[in-house]
Amino acid sequence: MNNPAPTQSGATPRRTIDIVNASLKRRYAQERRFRLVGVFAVALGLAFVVLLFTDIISKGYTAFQQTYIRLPVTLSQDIIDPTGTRDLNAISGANYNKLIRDALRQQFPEVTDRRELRQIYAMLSIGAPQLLREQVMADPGLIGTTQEIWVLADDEIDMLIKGNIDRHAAQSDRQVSDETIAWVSRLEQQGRIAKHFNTIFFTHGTSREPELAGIAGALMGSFYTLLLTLVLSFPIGVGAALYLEEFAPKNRWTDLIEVNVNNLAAVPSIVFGLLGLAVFIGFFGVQRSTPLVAALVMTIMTLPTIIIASRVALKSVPPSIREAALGIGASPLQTQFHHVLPLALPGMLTGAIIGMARALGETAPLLMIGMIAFIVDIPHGFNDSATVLPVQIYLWADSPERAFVERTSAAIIVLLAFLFLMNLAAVLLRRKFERRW
Amino acid sequence: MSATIATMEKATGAMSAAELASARHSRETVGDFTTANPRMTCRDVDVWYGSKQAIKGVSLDIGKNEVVSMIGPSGCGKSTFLRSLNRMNDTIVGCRVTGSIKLDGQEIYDKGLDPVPLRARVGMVFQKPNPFPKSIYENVAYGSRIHGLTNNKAELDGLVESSLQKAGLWNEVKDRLDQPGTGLSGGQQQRLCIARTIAVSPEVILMDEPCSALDPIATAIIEELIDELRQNYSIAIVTHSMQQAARVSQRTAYFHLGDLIEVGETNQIFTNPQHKLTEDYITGRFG
Amino acid sequence: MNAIPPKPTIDLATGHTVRRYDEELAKLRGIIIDIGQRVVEQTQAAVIALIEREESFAYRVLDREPLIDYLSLDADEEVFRMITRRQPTAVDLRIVLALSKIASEAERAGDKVVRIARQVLELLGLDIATELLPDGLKTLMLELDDKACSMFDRSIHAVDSFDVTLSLAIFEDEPKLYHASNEVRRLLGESSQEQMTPRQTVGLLTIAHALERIGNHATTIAEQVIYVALGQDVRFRNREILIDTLRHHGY
Repeated sequence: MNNPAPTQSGATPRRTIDIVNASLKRRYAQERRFRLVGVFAVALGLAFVVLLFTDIISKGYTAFQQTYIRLPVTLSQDIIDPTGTRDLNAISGANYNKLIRDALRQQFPEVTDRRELRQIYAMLSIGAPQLLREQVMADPGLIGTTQEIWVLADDEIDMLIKGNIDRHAAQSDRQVSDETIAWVSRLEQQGRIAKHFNTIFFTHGTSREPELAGIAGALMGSFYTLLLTLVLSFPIGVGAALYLEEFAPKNRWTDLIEVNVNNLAAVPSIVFGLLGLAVFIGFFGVQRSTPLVAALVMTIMTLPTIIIASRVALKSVPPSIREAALGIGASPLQTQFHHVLPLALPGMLTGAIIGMARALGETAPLLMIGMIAFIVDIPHGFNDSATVLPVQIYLWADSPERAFVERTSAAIIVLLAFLFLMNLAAVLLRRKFERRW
Repeated sequence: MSATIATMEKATGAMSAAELASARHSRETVGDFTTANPRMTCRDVDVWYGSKQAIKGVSLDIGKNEVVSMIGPSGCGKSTFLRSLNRMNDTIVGCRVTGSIKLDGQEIYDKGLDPVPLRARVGMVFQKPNPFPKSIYENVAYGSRIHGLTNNKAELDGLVESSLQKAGLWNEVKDRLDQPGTGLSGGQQQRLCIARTIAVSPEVILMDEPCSALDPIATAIIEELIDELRQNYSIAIVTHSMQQAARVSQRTAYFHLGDLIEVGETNQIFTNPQHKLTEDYITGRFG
Repeated sequence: MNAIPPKPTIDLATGHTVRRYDEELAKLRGIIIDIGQRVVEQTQAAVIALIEREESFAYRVLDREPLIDYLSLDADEEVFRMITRRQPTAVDLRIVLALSKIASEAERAGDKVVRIARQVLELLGLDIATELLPDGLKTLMLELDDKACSMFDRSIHAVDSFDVTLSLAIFEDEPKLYHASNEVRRLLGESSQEQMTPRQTVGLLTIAHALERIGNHATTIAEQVIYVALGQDVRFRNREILIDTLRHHGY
């Protein structure tokens, strides 16, 4: 009681800084928790991406190699070019199958049974004679010699070599017979079996035979489709955005259009396929299953994306630039094309490329317009029948052969690579245009 | 001074104090809105944004070789009025202008008159420096390019140089004309905008708070420039700084809620305004 | 349209958004009114010293004079501060400019009072047989003093509310002031040869002249009041016509 100061200080209200300090710990803890949740969410997403990629790559990378059997093929003049005129028609029509079979049979002189011979012949791809024919026609000088030629093996042998078929399993549980395994083992010991880079995968169209199936047709189909889609949708989309954003009167009609453009962006893509089927194929009579009709459908599908992205890009251009241009007597069109558009272009390009990436990965609407057809030939124009990568993936995924599984994954790898390249292009384009000022 | 006691002494008894008092509180413009040598003449100008009237019956002249400043509280319509002088308001949806605005005797809101060349004759400098995101050279050359004012590169170079010189920027930028205009300081950017405006040889230059984003030194440089430009151009400037209006202008117009309350010689407005609203505004009193 | 704007006789120095501005203006005006009131008091004291032959009054006037000087220095300082800080415009600008001039006018009136007091002390120190101030002269001198003080006092009141009417009344009093001082001069001229020594005459003449000057300062202050209230400089004008014109407009 002698010193009243402590009682007084006890009675005074707590200072603000004390209250703040008391709650500070709680606030920091909250912040830490929030950060942890964020890190966890990002980690989870990354984990799934890694899982997806490892799964696809581990399944798919083997498809980039293909098993070949080295055979000493006697390219007998009697069989290939009996007349000796080196007439390409004659060379083309020769029986290469017999040449290869003979060569293979020489490796197994002890086999005479017809059933077993058929099994031996089955080790070779059905496409092997065709490949040999191409080889000979490319170099007619080979005729009359005996060459060590790498002959394409059947997909089952391929699987066996790649270890996808268990050699020690019971014969009934695998598709390759014990005899075949023994023959393959012998050929392996002789060094007559090897895996080479799978050029067929990149140069051929699809096929019923996995070892002959390639993505070239689908790739070209996707390329033609995307090219045409970009050529159609970018100018139309940018033009529509420019008009809506800068020139159109603001009234109920433009509001309605704006709402509908936004809604269209959210419409399921298969609806666009139905639309394409009804309008372009049904009404306008465009040939089905072509890059042309696919591009038309994709254009309609990507337009809303491009329009919305372009409008956002236009909105982000400061109005002071427009005022500046108008203020020294530029016409509205000059203002847009000299000043606003260049500034908005990076954003518009990003939108376009995102739309293109979506179009590249789109399957559903293309099924509706006949892109699902089995097309072996590589398209050479906008009006050739074609398929596209995602549809090809879908078709292969449906096939029962074990060898198609790795090809499906390989095709997915290629598709992802293209998506990655397109996104990279978007980033680079942005940089380039933004660096101009 | 328009109303001197000397003139009153000659003609006493024109108006009683009570009459004067009542006149003062109507929204008739106090002071003489005409000028001896007008370049732009505005009579009974109304500006509407939809159903809202932003400018109410404003009459004002902008004379040759003079700076007219427009002051008033925010939202008083001074910027709106300025923008109606080169039809920048055209870009605003729902904006209507009635009354008469003439440039050298020609009605600028005539149906047949194209606003695009008008804006080359009545240039504008904006509140925020807004150079194009292009090189300094291109900024100045742009107006000439679109209007085709020069025939060859040498002429264009000359125009760019003379415009930058008139804007007092040449010595600072002559070695880096290819650098982006956006890389200059705020005051330099604003002078670049002025150079860009005068490159198309306008007759009238409108300035909408040209110094509000600048520091005092940059402001002083621009004010000095405005005084020089007065030799060749008519200038109308909207400003929030009354000191600036007092410094740069020969005549001052005070706007209040869309009305032109008072207009007169700048000296007179700042020493002896006739209207109570003007006085309250410029002395910083409660409305 | 040509008109002297009829300013309402409200207190013009109030109502700024920045209240400190009002306070500063009020302070400046307070200083000037203080100076003015001191001048009036001092003048009366000095004249009483003469009439009543009271030396102490005259000494007190001399003692207090420096206060007026200090106050006028204060007033100057306030004026500088206001110009640098507030950059006054319109009526505020006129008030500050006018108050600055009024302060110096009042200070100069203060100097005239000192002159009177000095002369009074000199006259009281003279060894003269005759009366210092004959009765007739005393009346006239008191009348002159009354006019000058009344004019100065009213001019200070006019400053208090920038009252045009009061200023006009001061203008109207000016001829009476001149008349009173002329009367003093006339009488001094008549009676000087027999009753007064020349030194005495000169002293009284100086006092009368100083009183007249104080009245003149009052009219100058009144001019400044009209400048503030009406925004127009009325110096060097014909007073009668000016008075007529302003009276006609209801002042």
